[in-house]
Amino acid sequence: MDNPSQPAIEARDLVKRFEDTTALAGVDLRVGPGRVHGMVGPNGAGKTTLLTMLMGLVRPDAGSIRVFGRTREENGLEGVAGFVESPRFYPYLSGRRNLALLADLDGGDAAARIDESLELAGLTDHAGARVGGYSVGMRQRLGIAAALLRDPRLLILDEPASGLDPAGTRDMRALIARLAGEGVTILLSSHDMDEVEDLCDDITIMRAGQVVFDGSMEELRDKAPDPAFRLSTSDDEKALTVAGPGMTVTPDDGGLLVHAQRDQLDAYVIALGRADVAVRRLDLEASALKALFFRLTESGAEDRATGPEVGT
Amino acid sequence: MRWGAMRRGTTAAVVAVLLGTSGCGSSGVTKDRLNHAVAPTFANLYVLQQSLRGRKVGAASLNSKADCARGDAQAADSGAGNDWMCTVTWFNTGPDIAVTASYQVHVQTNGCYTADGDGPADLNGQQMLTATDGATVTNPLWQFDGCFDTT
Amino acid sequence: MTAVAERTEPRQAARTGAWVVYRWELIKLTRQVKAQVVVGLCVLAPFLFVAALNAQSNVPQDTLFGRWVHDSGFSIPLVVLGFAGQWALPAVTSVVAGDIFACEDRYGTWKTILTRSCGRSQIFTGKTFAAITFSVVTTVLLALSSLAAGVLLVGRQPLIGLSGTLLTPGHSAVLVLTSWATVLLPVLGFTGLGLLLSVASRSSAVGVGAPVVIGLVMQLASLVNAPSAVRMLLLTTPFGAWHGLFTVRPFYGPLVQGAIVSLVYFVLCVGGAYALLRRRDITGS
Repeated sequence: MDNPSQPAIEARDLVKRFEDTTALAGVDLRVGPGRVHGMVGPNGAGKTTLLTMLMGLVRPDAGSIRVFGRTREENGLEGVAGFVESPRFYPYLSGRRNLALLADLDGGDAAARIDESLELAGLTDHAGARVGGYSVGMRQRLGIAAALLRDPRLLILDEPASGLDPAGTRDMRALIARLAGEGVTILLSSHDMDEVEDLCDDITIMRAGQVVFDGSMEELRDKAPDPAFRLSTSDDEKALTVAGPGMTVTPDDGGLLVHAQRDQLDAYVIALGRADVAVRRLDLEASALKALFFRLTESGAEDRATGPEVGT
Repeated sequence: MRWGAMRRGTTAAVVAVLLGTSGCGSSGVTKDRLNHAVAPTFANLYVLQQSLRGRKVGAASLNSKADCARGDAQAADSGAGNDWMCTVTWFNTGPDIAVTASYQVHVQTNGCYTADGDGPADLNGQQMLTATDGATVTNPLWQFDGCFDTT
Repeated sequence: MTAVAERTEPRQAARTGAWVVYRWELIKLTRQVKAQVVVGLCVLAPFLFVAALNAQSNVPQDTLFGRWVHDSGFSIPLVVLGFAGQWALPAVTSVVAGDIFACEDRYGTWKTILTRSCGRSQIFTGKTFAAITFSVVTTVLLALSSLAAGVLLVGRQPLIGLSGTLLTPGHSAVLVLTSWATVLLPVLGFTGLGLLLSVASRSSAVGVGAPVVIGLVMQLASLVNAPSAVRMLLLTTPFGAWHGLFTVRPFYGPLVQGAIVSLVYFVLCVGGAYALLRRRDITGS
């Protein structure tokens, strides 16, 4: 029934105001079928509002949402699962009992998937315990299990690794990669640029209720500025004068901040040696994508006024 | 918007209907209604009391009448209050010999009342009485409750 | 797929959805301590009440049938109905009705259940019927338990009615059960009030507490000689409408008025709660 090239999500011009704040100021989002789509932005950018809206919990003041071509009124949540903010359950029921309840609300053969979902989420050993005693990470895993019950074609995950220990984070990323490999479309929000870079095919960057970048990871990398390095030398003043063309070196926080491509940086370090300046420390301050992310989301108000829309 | 208007409309209609059936807010407690409630209730309880004392009488032959009024002379003889006084008259041994008893009556807004015996002492002055079989039982005429329709 | 099949499928799903929600709400209720406590109290309290009465010679004279508590067991359920019914029944019903929506706010689980294949109207229907079920069950339990306590601990003596006549045990039992049945309607009115406050306030404290306070205020208003039109519109008045059944010529005016008022409260409150929940944005964690 679904057209294979039909977008999993097609949202247009979404607007949402909460009393005096504008959470979304005209947001477009298109998530291609079978893609892993990342959504990043600082707190208050409107990510969570957008996700709650996609899950049918919040009504847009204006705009339209189609999931697999259907509006909310046309059973728009069918095939969609996930969670927004930290997943919540009834604390006085066990994990398995919570899943049994949700499976019943879903109907169909969801109940038959409870064991498999617990297994995939790595929660089988704790399924019999009351959720009230769960750690944040275990609730996160239960949230994943609850989503998998629906056998979703679109999985919406808000900060899926939040509260997980490093091993849990690794499991979560592996699970997302596996589901993506099975053709599930995944929309995940994250504040961790590395996670998004690892997992995602496409990315939407939001700021202050607007989309400031929307495109594939390749497109984003093309736009990425020079990566930033933190440099500490025996003579920072002299080091400033050695800087070559096409790179910037600025004093910053008792050291130097260098924006340069890698080959430019190599040349710069050699030049420092020649000028009798010893390099004491050289660290990658921010990857190219992080640097772009900061530039896109932290630019000043005048930037916003002139329209910071990149790549749309 | 539509909801609000619909709800207001429904409320107004219901209020109107209820006011219509309630006699437009006037009190349902009247002298007449109280008289007609107290007299037969007293008669029935008198029969009960007499049977406890070993005497058989029929309620109908008593031909009981009640005359109730509010103690406060200024007040109209209607409305709830604890200042109602009732004098019950009935015919005990024959059609010519009338007997009376007094009750202080507390009438509630819902038409239920409590009558508290105020003499003669032999009839309604004691909470308990001794039945013919020797048992001490509650005197039905000491205090009694009743209700009448105020709608 | 034909158009007919497409249209009937969701409708069938809607029915089963509400049923599933209803079933789970009942399961959840049986797991909750407060529901267990309330049900236990409904069963035990009448027996404790009679035991306390039997330990002394005083009688609760200011309640209808109160002066007969030592003389006929059938007076017990009527005293319980008149004495405790007015505040106890609103409290008992709102323990669940006032919490059944607000608990989802407390646990943050609205987003969990509203992102499944069940719609909001199914969730609402299921929860509303669960709250109604609890109200009816607790009222019936309290009625049967107080009748049992009266008959077992006082006896099956004939009851003196409100016209001074003796009512046979069988007739008394029927009238007692009928009286308790008539308060189901105002109980449902309070259930609706609890549901509305539960949805509107999103707070269990308000949902459970406010109906009790409203009930007490209404009772106070009827005690201070409020105009009869106002008294009639109070949701506590129908709780006392059964007394007309106990006269020689029974009258039903108060019962009819009470039924209308109760239903109006119920419909307005439940309708309002539904409208609020339909339009509500589920935000926050």
